[in-house]
Amino acid sequence: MSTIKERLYEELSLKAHLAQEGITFDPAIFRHLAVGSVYQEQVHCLFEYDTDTHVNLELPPTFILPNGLLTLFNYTRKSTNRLEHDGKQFFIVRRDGTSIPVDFVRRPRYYSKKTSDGTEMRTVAVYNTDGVVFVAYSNECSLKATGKDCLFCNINATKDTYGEAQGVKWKYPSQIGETIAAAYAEGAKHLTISGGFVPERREVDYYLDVAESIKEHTGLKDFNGTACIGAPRDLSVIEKYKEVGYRTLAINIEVWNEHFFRAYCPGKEELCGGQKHWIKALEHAVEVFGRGRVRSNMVGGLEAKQSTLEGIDYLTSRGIIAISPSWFPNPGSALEGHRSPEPEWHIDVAKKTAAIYRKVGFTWDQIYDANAAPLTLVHDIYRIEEGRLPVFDKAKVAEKQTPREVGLAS
Amino acid sequence: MITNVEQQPASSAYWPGFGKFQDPEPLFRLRGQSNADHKPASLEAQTRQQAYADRQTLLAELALKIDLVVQGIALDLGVLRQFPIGTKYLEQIHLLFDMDREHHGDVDLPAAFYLPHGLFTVFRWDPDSRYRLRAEDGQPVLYRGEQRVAAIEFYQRPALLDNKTSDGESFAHIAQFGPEGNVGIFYSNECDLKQTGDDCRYCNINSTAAAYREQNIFLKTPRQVGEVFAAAHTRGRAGHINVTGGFIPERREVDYYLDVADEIKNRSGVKEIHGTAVIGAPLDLRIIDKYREAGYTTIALNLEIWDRDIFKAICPGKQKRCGGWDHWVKALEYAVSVFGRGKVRSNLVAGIEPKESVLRGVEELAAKGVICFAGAWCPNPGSALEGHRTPEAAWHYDLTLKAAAIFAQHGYTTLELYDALGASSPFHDAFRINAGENVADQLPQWTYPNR
Repeated sequence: MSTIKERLYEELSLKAHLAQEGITFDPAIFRHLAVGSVYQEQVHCLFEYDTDTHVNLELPPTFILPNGLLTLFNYTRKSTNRLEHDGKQFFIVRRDGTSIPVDFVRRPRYYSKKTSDGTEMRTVAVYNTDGVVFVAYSNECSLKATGKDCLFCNINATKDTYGEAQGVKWKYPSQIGETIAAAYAEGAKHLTISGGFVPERREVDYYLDVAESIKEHTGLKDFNGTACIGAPRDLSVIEKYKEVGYRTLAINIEVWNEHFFRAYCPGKEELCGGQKHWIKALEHAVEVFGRGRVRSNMVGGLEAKQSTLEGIDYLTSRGIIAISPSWFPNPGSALEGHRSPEPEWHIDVAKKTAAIYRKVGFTWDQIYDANAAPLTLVHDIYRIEEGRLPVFDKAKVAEKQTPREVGLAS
Repeated sequence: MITNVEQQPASSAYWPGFGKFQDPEPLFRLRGQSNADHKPASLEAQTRQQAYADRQTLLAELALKIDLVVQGIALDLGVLRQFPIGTKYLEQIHLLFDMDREHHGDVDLPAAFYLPHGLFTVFRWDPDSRYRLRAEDGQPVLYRGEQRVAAIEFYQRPALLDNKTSDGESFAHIAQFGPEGNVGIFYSNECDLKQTGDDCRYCNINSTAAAYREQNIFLKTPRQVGEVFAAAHTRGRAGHINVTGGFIPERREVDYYLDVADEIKNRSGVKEIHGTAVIGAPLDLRIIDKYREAGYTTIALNLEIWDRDIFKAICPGKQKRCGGWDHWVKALEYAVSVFGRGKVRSNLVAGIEPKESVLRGVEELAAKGVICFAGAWCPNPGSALEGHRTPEAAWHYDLTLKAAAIFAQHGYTTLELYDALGASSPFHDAFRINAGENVADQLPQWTYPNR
């Protein structure tokens, strides 16, 4: 009989497969699920993670596997995984006929609220589960104007597809402050502010105004926020983010190999002093924010595994939470039609990343606070290893009970 | 006579730059028009309509061919054993690469097969593929899930492979014999770039050599190559020769290629070698003249990646030892000045960089006189990119059609495409289908002319 951990690692593998392979369905199936009222819907504030776009079809952003792991809902028309409903419950039926019961995340209450100027709060801050909210202040990136967008990115294409349909616009600091206050009142406890490049790199002034607004509306001095920024040429700017109250800072390097960086992120190369300056900015950020309080993402699957792991090892040893979430080749990006590596590749990277973190002593709280979505495989490995899932509590109760108490003799 | 058929005109935008196959006139008017308009199409229109339908059939088979390479084919050993692979049908011989999803030890897998409409397809094994090989009445058939896709015909094992050189080595360890009449020589199954950790990141030459050591593949001597070529030439199966291999220590490849050329000429009596020397860009470009002087009619310098920066990351050895990307392009230009327009080939590994970048490379090189293919990247076992995946088949299909259109726009011919690469790649198929080289709904096997 397998242990809970073994079952969860099997579920982790399943999660990686389902996220990469995607899910198909008959749209009529969603008559059984009140997406957008009872259950949470996707709001495309920044990216589209589905393989196929779905304007005017509300889809859930995630689903819950039997032992509690949350998985990205990736609509892929040609997928061999099919979402079905038997009149009572939803199942994902895999190619080999395996049937997996799944559930969905309830819609947060603030999704049905509006800011004082009438803006739908769901378009201001997306709920990324587990108490984490994500604000994309802008759903466009000025790099597009010069043809220097990152090759894997679909911010601008997402805006073209969903911007008008979902009413997603530029956010003002007051809208963000009000929305965060509503989300925190409901139990949220971490936020990230991000977005595309702002013309003339005027992001710092904006981030400071947003922080002031959040503090004003929530009454919190430390609102557990991550400011996600491009590396500033003048590194002293980084101190301003700390002074205004952000707990953590994210500067996403995207790829470790410097030649790839130049090729895949031509705008970041040109506007941010190149990959070496990017690393300097991260190291400086650690001096300002502290060890385990700075994060950097690499797009998992763009470069060779060895290169990604070298980057994670290097940055982690300098106190940076470097992470490589799975790449989903987005519709509308220059790499549309490419495929991410095999699920096993991503699991291996995640396991090795978690091992590197443990070596330097990063805690769950540090990882949680630094990331924009607690959905990565690395988060799950920490959950499994530290017993951070409800399934562990259920098992403890069951262990204490006699066979009669769990109903075997009834 | 067929009547009242709703006929939708098809799109003509499929083949930009190709004028030969315009949309045919509909055979019958659209439903809803007056009876007076219902009149049978002319014989000419019917012929065009049929030609269009044949072309669509072949393009669908091309899409299938590409999908079978991208997805691979699963199989059960019990089914495989029903086919005499390695005797009647050609088995995979790993002279350079393993293109299967995993190395497969001593299990003989088929090398290639024909699809129903004549497209020659390499067999790529992937145990997780939805495509599966089945046997029906002793014949190989491909299924996708439970859907029967196609009856196939394995490529028969060329009898030449049973021969031995004068020093007792099997031809099978030296050359491959393609159905077009190409002799494929892989002089070395090792690459010296491994010594410095500078192998191309997608390449598994060295891993293949280690995995299939029992196949006794080794460095081939010029004499062995000459004997193999002469034997094939005598049997009319040496329309073209392609000589390639990994990097040789100290870049001593030029001496080897010249010795091979001498052996070929001495043993077969040919004066010119209708063949391709595949080399790394030499730092001294004048070396390229030597290949032409030795008798090779075409030359190949595979750039692999069009984007300069991705080239540096993916091909660190070529960057360090061959003067970098710019020098490589200069070498291609110089080679055109020596060998002539359409006599120089390059290849890009399609699927690592964006499609737009690949097509820019194909177009710019075509304009310079270089035929640049863009073969689908198969993330090979043992390469640094093992576990990655090539783009969707639709991505490769679109790229194939566009690259073939570029070749046509620049006036290249089918013979030049085959002289550049002695194999029926999807680019050759697309080019030929569009050029009307099909016979009804069949694309006949192309073969080299007697020369």
